[in-house]
Amino acid sequence: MDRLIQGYRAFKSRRWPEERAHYEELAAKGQKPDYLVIACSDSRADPATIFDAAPGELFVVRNVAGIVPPYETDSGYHGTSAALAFAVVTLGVKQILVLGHAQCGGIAAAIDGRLTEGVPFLGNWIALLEPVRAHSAHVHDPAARHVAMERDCVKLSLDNLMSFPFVAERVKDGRLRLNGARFGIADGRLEILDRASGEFVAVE
Amino acid sequence: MDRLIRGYREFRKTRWPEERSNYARMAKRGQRPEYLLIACSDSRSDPATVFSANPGELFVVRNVAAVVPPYGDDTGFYGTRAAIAYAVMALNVRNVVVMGHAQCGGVAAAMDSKVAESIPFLREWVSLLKPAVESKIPKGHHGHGHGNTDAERAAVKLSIERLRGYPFIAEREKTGALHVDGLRFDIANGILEVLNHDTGEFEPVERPGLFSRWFGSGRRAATPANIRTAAE
Repeated sequence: MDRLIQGYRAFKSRRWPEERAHYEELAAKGQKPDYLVIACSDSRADPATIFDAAPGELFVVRNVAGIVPPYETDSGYHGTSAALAFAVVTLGVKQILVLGHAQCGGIAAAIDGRLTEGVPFLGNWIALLEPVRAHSAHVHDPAARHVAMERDCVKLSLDNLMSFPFVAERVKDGRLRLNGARFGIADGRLEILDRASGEFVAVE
Repeated sequence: MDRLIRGYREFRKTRWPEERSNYARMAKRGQRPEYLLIACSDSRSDPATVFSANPGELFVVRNVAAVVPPYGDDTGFYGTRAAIAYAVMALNVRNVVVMGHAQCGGVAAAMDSKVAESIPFLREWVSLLKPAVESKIPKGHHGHGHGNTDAERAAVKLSIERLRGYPFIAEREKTGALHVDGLRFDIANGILEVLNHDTGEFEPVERPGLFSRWFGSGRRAATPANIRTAAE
């Protein structure tokens, strides 16, 4: 815990004095974020860092590979779906961003099933990426396939988002917008999905 | 997207030049975080912010109320458990930390079923917190999100208890290869409190001398070089 405590003390001495009034207001009024960001748990792809976010701006869900599961009406416990519903229905976020990234270990596990061996639950979760795996089966260059799957994973999550009635309804009447992006760890580049062309386009 | 693009440009201008070699190295050799942080999705309780974390330091799971589901349940939800297993077994993190926070909407929803009634999936999800919050519900309570401090702490303790029910965590904790800890962040005053495993109480970080016990042998030393500014 020592590293965390040191980091917290740095926060208290630097960031907190700057943001104090803001935190107090957020505590008094409650949160009202404009964005839901669904991202990977990967330590190298932190949304608050990449978007230089202030407290209160991003409601964030993070799981392996940043996956949104399809809408399912069974009574199982769905962590990501519950967070999505809370963000959209209760908080009324205006935008959802699905953020993928380079060198994603979840994608690697979807390509090579051996990586999930001996790791409980991972195979079940990564099975959600089966359509993505199949879609790039014809790409023979391993690096190119990895990147293609990272991008397709973002698209799959966006498609799955539209299977939630409370999302589809708000997208249709303009209250909610969906976007996809991918962060390149090695070069720090952000590319954004152009929904019209289906291509990811680098910012700048 | 305008706000996000603006923020990204700020990142490129200020943070990226500082962290460039760190990112490049991590892209090449993979991530090696020492911490798995399980935190709430709440926009006011961001782990990278509260811990001044550098890229690569924290593997982060965020869901409503920082819930850890029980290991054995075959209820068809795998997201959080898969991330925990991946962090511990594939990445070999050395610490698993559960961070709750003040004014948690998820805890409020667990305490008052009316809050989550019309929100799909939410009621089922926060019902996982029932064993923690049930004894904390005062008569006539309406789950408004304030004054749920005890329930928020109990929720963290429940998640920790459940983590210890994961065989691969219990095993590593026994040999000292892994440490499990609990925290609660108070949004209104910025105070971070740490679960004292001996007493079961949460204690604020500020009190001097309190943390000597967590700095004991067997823990890997902090890497001051990674901390952008020494706080003290």
